[in-house]
Amino acid sequence: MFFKMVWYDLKNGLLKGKWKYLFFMGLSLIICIDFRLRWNLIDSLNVPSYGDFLMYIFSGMKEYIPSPMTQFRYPEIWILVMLLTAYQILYYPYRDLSGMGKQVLINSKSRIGWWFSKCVWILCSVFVFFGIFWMVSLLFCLVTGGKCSLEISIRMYQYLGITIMPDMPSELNIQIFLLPLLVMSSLGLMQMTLSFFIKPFYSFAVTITIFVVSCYYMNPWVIGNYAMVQRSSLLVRGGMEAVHGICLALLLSAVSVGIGLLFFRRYDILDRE
Amino acid sequence: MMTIEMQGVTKIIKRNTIIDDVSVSFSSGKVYGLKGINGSGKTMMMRLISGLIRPNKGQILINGKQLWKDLNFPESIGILIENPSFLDDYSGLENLKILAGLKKKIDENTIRETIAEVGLDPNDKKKYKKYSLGMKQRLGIAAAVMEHPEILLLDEPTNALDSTGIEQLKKIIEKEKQRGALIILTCHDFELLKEFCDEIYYIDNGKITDHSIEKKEESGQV
Repeated sequence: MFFKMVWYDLKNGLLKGKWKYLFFMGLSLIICIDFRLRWNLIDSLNVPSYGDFLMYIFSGMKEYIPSPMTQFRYPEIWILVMLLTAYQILYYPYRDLSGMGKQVLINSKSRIGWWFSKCVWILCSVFVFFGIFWMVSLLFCLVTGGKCSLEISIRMYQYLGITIMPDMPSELNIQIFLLPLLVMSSLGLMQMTLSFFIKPFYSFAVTITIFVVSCYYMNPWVIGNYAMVQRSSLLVRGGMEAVHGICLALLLSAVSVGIGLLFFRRYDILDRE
Repeated sequence: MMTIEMQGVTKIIKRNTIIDDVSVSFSSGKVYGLKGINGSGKTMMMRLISGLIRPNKGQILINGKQLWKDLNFPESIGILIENPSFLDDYSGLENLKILAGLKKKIDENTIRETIAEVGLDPNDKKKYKKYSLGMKQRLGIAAAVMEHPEILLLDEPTNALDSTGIEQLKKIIEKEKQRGALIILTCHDFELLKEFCDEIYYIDNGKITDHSIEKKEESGQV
């Protein structure tokens, strides 16, 4: 029964709606074109690698230290990718409960199953949306003659103003893929749980706040920091430790799923929309 | 023999008492009507029985088993509460196949038969979002009855139905009653409600204020 519920969610909340995928593909393409144009100014002799593309999308920003000489500038690409993904996973669980999900819940007779099915849906959705960024940037990189390598060019480090080269570049590659995905998944679970306490709109406001605060404060307790590769301890002294990020993301996921489950078991299902 | 017992059930939402110390029992093979003005608590009673909302006080027993304690939801229930909701991009048949696929109690032929019974064409490829209000209501009724549940809750099932639809609904209710289902329904049209039901409970401000037994067997109605 549980797998049927998961399939129902994947079919109706993820596989349906080609426009959102076209939108994400289009956005990924625009980001890649933007990067390629910038790259021509950075290094007109060499081509960027796939790792450079990923670094451009998921690097975020360096630590912001307020001073009269520094001006705060949002990492537009990073925050756009994160917030659009968060928005895509915002409404489905809540709206499903006002629609056919109510029938599915009664037919399945399991509130626990319904909740876990929505959690699986969140994880799969984040993976699919990030997968679009990964795949489109890979294809764009190959089509434009880029190197199919995760190695990050020295020019890219220079462009981002990073002076420390990682001792273990492979570890950085893992972080580029894993940490933004984990952070987004855990925030997605938190956002879903909150949307049942408060309305989805307000839970999205909480997600926005976390990302904005993450940009301003480099703090190990503000989870968004771990999704910014530029703040990794591999690239910055006193930067974010990947292990801490993984633990914090897993902890936030477990707490969100647990609290959500306890709450949902007693949740009154009323038509709210 | 299926029974539903509500014992001293109270439901408070945002400090408003929606259902106020209601004690009532229902048994199978009968059609019960709930009569009351908008906001009197009819739909909330249905939501309580279906397990969608939790009582603040009292208990609901389904065949002696307590809802929210021994059961999450009644074991065999079909519901049509307020507006039917289905997936916009699928046809009526596809929507019911998705729902039926969860329990796999019935096959596609039974689903097709039920769709035809409510006056829809099971071969119609039209997507649900293109359905008229009446068609949506018919599909909602089909979804509620297709698995032949022991408990059938129909909240305003005549909404948006034309006279043919109402006649078809009467036949379905009668068939389900003969099968032994416990049916609870609400309807704004009191004459229709009297025609449909064996017993009617009158609800006002979340309380049951009156109860009448309709003498249909004698008058040969329904």
